[in-house]
Amino acid sequence: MNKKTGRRDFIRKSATAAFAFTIIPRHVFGGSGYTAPSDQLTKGIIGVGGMGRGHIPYEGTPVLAVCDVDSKHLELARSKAGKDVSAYSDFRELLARPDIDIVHIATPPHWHGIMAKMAAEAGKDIWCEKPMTRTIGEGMEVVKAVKKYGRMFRLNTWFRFKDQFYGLGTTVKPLKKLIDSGVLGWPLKVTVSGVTGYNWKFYWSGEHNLEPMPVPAHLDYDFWLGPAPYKPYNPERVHSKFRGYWDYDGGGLGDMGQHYLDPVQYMLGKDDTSPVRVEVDAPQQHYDAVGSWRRIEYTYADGCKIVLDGENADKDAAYIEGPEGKIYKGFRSTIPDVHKLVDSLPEPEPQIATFSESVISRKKFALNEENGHRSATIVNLGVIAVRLGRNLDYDPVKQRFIDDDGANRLLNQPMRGPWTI
Amino acid sequence: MKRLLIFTLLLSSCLATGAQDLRTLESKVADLLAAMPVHNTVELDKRMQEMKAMGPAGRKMITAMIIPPGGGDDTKARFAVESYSRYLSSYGHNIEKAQWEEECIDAIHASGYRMVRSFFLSQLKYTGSERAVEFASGFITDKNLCRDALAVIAASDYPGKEEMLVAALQIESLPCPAAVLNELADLGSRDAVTGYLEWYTRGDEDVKKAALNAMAESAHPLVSDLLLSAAKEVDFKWDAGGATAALVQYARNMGDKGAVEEMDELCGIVISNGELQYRVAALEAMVHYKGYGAIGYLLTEYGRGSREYRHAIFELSYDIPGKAATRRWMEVYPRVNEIGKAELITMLGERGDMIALPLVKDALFCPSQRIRTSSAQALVKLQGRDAVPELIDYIQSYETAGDQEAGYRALRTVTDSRRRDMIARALEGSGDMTKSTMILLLSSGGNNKYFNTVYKYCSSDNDQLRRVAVSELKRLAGPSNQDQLISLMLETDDADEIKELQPALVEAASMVSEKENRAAEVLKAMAEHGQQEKFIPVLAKLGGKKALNTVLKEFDKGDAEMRRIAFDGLTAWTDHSASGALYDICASGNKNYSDPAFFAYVEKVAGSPLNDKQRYERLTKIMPYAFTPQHEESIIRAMGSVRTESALMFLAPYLENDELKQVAAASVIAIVLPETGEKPVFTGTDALKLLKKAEGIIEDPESH
Repeated sequence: MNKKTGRRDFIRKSATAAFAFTIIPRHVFGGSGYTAPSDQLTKGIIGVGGMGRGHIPYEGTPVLAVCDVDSKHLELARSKAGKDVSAYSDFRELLARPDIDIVHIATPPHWHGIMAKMAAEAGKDIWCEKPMTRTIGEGMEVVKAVKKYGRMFRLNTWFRFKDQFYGLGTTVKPLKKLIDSGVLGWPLKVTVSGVTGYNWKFYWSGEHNLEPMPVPAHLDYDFWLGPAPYKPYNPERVHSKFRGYWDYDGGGLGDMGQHYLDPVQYMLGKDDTSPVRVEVDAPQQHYDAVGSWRRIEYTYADGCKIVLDGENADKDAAYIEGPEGKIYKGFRSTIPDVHKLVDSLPEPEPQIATFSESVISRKKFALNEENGHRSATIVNLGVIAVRLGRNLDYDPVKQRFIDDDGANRLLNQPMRGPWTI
Repeated sequence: MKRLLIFTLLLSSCLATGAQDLRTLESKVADLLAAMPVHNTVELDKRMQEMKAMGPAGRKMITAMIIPPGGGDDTKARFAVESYSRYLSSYGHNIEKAQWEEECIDAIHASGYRMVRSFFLSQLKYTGSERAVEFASGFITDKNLCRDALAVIAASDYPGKEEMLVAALQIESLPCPAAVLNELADLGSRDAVTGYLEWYTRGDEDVKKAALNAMAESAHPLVSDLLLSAAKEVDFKWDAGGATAALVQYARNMGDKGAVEEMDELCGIVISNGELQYRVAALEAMVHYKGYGAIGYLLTEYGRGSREYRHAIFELSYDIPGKAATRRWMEVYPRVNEIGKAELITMLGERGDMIALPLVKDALFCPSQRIRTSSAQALVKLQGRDAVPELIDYIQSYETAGDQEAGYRALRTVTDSRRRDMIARALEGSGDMTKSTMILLLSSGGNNKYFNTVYKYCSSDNDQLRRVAVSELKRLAGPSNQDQLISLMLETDDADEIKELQPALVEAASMVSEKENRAAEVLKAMAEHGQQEKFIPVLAKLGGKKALNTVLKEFDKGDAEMRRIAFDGLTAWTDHSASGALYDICASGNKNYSDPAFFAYVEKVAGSPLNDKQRYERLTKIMPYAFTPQHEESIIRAMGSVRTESALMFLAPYLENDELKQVAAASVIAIVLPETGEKPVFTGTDALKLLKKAEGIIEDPESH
């Protein structure tokens, strides 16, 4: 028995009963004490810029190793995580460590797909930053790899299972209950805008006409680019600015899209499908830098719609609008006594909301590779439509655009060798 | 008539000529570029049609403007070129695409700069015809551009590209062999197998990995031995070169080609020797290609592995649906231990096959708690709301924490108003622990009709049952229950129970329609019975003038403990009507309460629905009592929501204050910058200067 298996068996034996219950306070049933299984699992973090260093305390799992192509990031990460933590500049060395259970991927998105697939091959469970992947094709590969190698995967956004959801002033659960009850009617339209509590961040738009600059000694820029096309170094491209460039992310939509849209997908019951049409209203987009957009409208096959209103143009927009009722920011509703009604409705199916529990029990995490890929697809459909400046039709089963070769070429963007997925 | 027709045609022809664009080509190009970037997709479409209409000569003027990064500003030209490629990449435009490819190719020939060539090569990715692929293949031996060229080839659907890549692999000095191998792998090419083997023997680590990948995807019999020995070399474990992954993928591809026996043999080797994830991958291939024929492997392996392995096998088992497979899994049930039984029950629930229902029902009443708790959830998966009677029976039968938790969880997902009535009917005859569970289920509906049912147990001798009943009243209380809640409150001295009853009383009284009368019953109880300490927190949530006066009176005349309770009530007051009292307390200089009254006052004012001017006045009113930086910070923060010129002027000096400038800058930005979609209120030079200054102070925005 190897070391990893032994530790997991130990956790299982000592904490099986403890997993059961979080809804009702312990004092109600007087259950036994809870030993956090996360105390036993270990992790390594790839990409330890601001976001990755934020992963260090996640779920209390000890960090054994960190990896970054910027030696300054590594220093900062070790000063936070401890000097005993191993530091690598090549993520493959971290993957080779048999004593690491979970690999956190907090790099820019153009690396997510490759690293997630390789981590799955290496037998690691995966905690990946959003957006899940930079392209739809890479997402499909991650879904395949996670299943193929029997891994657990969590995407690092959480509103479908916990925390107050931005402008709603509530968790998503009551909304899910309402929608499932049918009281709002069908199909539904969800508007995501500042009016409904979700401002879009357009400050992630990139700069035009970047001047080549010398690469700082502490950064392995070629490795940072990895599969992305070579472009001369400029500090605007990397670290906290990368979101503004198509090669690495999709601007404010890439940044916040999955936070905002994954819970919508969950509420609408669309975890296993994608929109069939995406319509955009946006200015002309630069070849390199992501720009802004005014409106993106997604339509599902059953008529449900998701509207991203970047300019808050619809001042009276409801967050959720159905033929028989509306829900507004702050959980106001046209339905009388909506909160009482919510209380009376059955709970949605329980979700596993801590990744440690998922890893130990080997049950899928609430936001896993499959539904995460679908919500990343909503983001990426929008990114492609904005980039091309045209409306697109999409086949959610084949996961390809209909009658649009140009759009299909953005489903799987070629990778710079030797990288492949 | 005929003459008239001819005249009309001639006239319209003349008019059309008159409407013709008489600008020079240079002017057209200049106008087009001046418009870049355009504001919307309709305008973009129009401009792209203009670009099409200006012909190769006009477009050449634009492509000639592209210069290497750092050489000047060619942004507008790049906007035009890229957008034209994107425009042509949509359905149709075949003639224009071909023409544009030639023009991009000409531009590549015309430029000696790597990044300019790279830019035009990237345009070919959008169109990628045979011509583009053939042209790009000419750069495969170019050290600087081979990867860009391969990207063009990869993006294209042109079938002839395989042949070009196979030929490229034979070039000994190929500068990017790994990229070529990866592309051949994507094509599943079998024509370059000897090239794969050759590069595997002489390449670096990246090339070796790419060669193994290409071999795996080729599914060519010639590479079988090499892949097997490469995986053996790493003991069928993970390595950065991906040897074992390549072997499994090869086996999978053999299955794809119908060579199921060979797949079977290779997967068998991996299952016997591989690391866990590769064993799973091998089984996944078996399931994928053999379907029900793979169930024997799953059943055998299920008995061999760790929990991780077993659960991976369960996941694969869902890909073999149907009663026959379910029966095979049910046959395993008697042979496995308690843990295995619990896991199997969960899995049978997930499969959703009703033939497993009798087994799951039996398991719900078996001696093992572990199995029973798994069965509760599985039953819901199989039966949905029809499982409720069985689950009621279950929680009544097993009064242990684990069973009650499992029963509650299962019931909570299927309990609607009709099933809640069933639970209410079963409540009386149940044990105390079950009663607690049932009360939680009843209260989750928030229906006042169960108030008296639950209220009855607030005097239970069973401590746990009583606590649950008391804690759940807040979900069920209505206005007519105020007397009962006040009685309970007066009777108990248990601090925890009082804390639970207070929100219940708030809930009940809040449903009284007239706002000023909401506190009436509570005030009456206080007048008759005293015990103010229990009721003041309730008054704070209900609000109203009478309630406020009562609390202020207690603050003025009460002992130290009562003053503390009354003050807490004022700070927690439901609206800003308590702000006047808080100001007075702050201004009084009271050594215990002046300071907290300051912060509470600012918070109340900031969160009030008063207009901007009123809030500004009230915030500045308390400024004389801001004795510390913390006081000032709270006001500065609150000013961020006051969108007036005066607020900006108030904040300006704080931008110079090292300790407070971050907060002040955030407030200035909040005032000056409009919310997305709003029109800016402050457009004057002073405001914009302040904004610029604030933006220079504030730290970079971070995502979350």
